[in-house]
Amino acid sequence: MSSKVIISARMLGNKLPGLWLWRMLMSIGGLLFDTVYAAVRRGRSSNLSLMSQVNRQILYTGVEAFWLVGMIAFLCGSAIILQAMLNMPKLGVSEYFGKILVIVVMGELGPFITSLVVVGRSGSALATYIGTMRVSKEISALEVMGIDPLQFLVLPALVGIVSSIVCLNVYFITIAVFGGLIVAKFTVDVPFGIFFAKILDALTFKDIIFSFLKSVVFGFIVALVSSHCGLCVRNIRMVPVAAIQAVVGAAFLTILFNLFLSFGYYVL
Amino acid sequence: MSYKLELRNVSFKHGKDTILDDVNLTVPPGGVVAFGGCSGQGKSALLEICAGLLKPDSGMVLWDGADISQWSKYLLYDKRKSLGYMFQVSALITNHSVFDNIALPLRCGSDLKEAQVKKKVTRMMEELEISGIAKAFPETLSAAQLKTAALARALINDPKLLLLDEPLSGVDPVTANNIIDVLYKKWEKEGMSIVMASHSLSAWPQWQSGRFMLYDGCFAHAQESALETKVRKFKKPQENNE
Repeated sequence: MSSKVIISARMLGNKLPGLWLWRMLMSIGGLLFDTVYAAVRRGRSSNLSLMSQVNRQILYTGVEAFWLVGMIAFLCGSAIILQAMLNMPKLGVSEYFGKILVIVVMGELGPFITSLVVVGRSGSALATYIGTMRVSKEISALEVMGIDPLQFLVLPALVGIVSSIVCLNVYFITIAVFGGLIVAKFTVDVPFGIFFAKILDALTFKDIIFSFLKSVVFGFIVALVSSHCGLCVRNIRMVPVAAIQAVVGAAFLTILFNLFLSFGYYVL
Repeated sequence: MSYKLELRNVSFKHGKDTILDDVNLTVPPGGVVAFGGCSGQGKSALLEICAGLLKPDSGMVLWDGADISQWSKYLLYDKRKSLGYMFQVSALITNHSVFDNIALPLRCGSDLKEAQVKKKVTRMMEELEISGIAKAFPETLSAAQLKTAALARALINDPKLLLLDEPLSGVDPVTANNIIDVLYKKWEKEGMSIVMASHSLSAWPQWQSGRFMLYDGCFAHAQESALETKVRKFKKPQENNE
């Protein structure tokens, strides 16, 4: 029943020209449904193959992005805190320093920048990888072995990318705060104790939950959009196109859902 | 146990070109059908239709009398666990070693424990003389090694139906002889049904009967003596398009 609804919605999207966003949302919604269904009915399939695919995805997406995300986090954290330290006293709002840092770094930059880094590195790579597998008949080979490609390729990518983005988000926030701490110490000479006290005072459980929720949603978007673009490849000329579509589609949807989730933060 | 495969009035078009036109074929359980034909005549498409990878525009594909188009995607996946398929392009999974590629159908489609999987894969690799490349990745292999590894993967789950697409193309004579020997012994021992597309039908003297040529989308029964005459009469592909 649900799959019929999704197929009908997809067909509606295909018949309305220009509704790229609608089509993309319907496609990744359908892919999510199919992947979850494939995961539920996994049955006898070996955990060994699934886990090795998940580990590989975490290695490419999370571990190999470690230095890049760390560097970006340090630079972003330093710049934000430098700006805040220098400008907030002029505006007379120095007491909100901790809250600003929590909102900007934890609520916005952490989940958003880590997901953009993952889109650029792993989203395009995943779309290219799955697209190339499609062209070289590796996906057909999986199908004739009785292995569902959604279970073998999309599910591990989903698990790997979501868990990588969640971990990278925590890592980003930590490094950004430490970057800010160093800048605060050496430029404006704010003591470590006061710096941490202001941040901890401003931090609420809701901030942590929303930061986590954002990184999970962005992980789903990156994995599903990239996999969808890869699976749509039909010939070798479409492989680079799939990579471009994956980056553009995932980045756009990330920005869109970031807005919805930020709105949700203030409504709830 | 092996599958009975039937194709009834199967037609398949690619764009406006008719690739297969009203093809009928029956492979009895344990039977062997080998067919040849010029490049672009639809040999690979026919095998993919037999496996349910391509849907015919009309007609039916029956496995043991059941129409596979009526099966759900997931039932088809379950049934394919008893299928062996060797692609023309080998289609090994590129981020898996040769060993892991061959073990894949067992790890994902059987209840065997890892120790049993290792034992079975090792034995298969020894039979096909590719034990030395167990840890190698597909991009480092020669065409003959890729073909042999692909054959090992197709045979590892003791298939009831084996579909082979050009099993000897790009393979040196020594490896080809080994592939022929192993396939013939497996067939004699396990009696699986085999459908094979091959340019070199004469390389399979054991399977004299059940040979066809695919020409203009149709099967023409071909005796060994008549094959070359038939091949010579083929139109060139560009003439067909006109």
